[in-house]
Amino acid sequence: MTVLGSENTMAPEVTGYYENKMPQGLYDCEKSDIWSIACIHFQLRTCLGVLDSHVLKTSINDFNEATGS
Amino acid sequence: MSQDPATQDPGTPAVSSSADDAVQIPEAAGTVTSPSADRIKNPWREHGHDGRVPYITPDLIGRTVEIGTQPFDRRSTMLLREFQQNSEIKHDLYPRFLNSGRVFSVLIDGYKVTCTEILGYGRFGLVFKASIADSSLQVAMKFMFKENRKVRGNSAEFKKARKLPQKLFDSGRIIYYLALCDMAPYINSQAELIIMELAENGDLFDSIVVSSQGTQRPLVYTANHARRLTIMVIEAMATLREHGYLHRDLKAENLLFNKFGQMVLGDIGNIKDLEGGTTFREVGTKSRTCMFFCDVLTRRLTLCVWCPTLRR
Repeated sequence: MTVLGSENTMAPEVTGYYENKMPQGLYDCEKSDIWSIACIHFQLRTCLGVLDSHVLKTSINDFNEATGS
Repeated sequence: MSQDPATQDPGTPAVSSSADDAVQIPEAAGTVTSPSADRIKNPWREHGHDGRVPYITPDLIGRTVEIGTQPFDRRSTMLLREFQQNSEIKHDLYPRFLNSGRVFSVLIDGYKVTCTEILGYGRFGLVFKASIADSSLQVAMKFMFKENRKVRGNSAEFKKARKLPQKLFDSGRIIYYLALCDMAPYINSQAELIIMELAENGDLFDSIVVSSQGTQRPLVYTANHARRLTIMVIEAMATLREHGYLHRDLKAENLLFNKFGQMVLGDIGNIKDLEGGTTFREVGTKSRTCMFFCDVLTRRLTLCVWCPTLRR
């Protein structure tokens, strides 16, 4: 299993491979880094890790996909 | 005052800390004045080749490890105990000097490096605060234990540090690597040493969770402070991107502050170059992929055998 990054700052497209043991695929490293930056900003303002299952009850399904419009 | 993370409601606005609680935000946000190479006098630089991080061959590493009598401080002892509890390293493979919990020195290429404090631990090893004798240079020395890795050879961080060009370290945005030692012989253990720039102001995660009077007390940044720090993160990532690399393991623990208050990126084990211009990278398990395709192929062949219409 190729584990990349840390669980709390892992992008959703990577989390699927990490948690669901999906077969090999491709993901955009640049976009996942941007997700991690947002996670750090969230952590700075709340002291909480995004999608930290020990503290928060939110899941990835609670996020709305940004359309850019 | 900030609340405990277990009881804090994420829906409510974060309460800012008081001025006394505020961690000193570096004033030099976004301004890299000089590259790291000019700031640090690297004693091992002369061994470097091709402008890369100096690589010290094992035969140059001193065979003696001196055990001091001065114990680690309280925080280091707690970290060491925590590491030992979580470590997958077997007891007989664990280095004796770490079990002793004492100050120790390693002779590396004629330079006596004394480790005095545990800065942190990771999945594969420990990071010590160390000082080089006959020099005022303070460094961080990472011990990567080979017994704790399933893959043979050097660690990913070690390999990447050898391959990365020196100009990337000179940019001042990535932690400066002074030297790499392939193997440190010790009784039953082997560890590779990564000697790097010491981030005196700690990491971003430590600045959020401040240890105060024996309790972990979280610290919420104000909007302005958080914005400034996020800008520093973005600028560090932009510099890395300009050199053609992506970090891929960005988190608060890997964002460090040097003594000038500048943010530097650490833990380059997952760094990726952009050769070919693609930012995509494989993820997942290869073996599962093969099994998946083998399964599909087997089913297809089985159908071909038993179903005459599919043979055509």
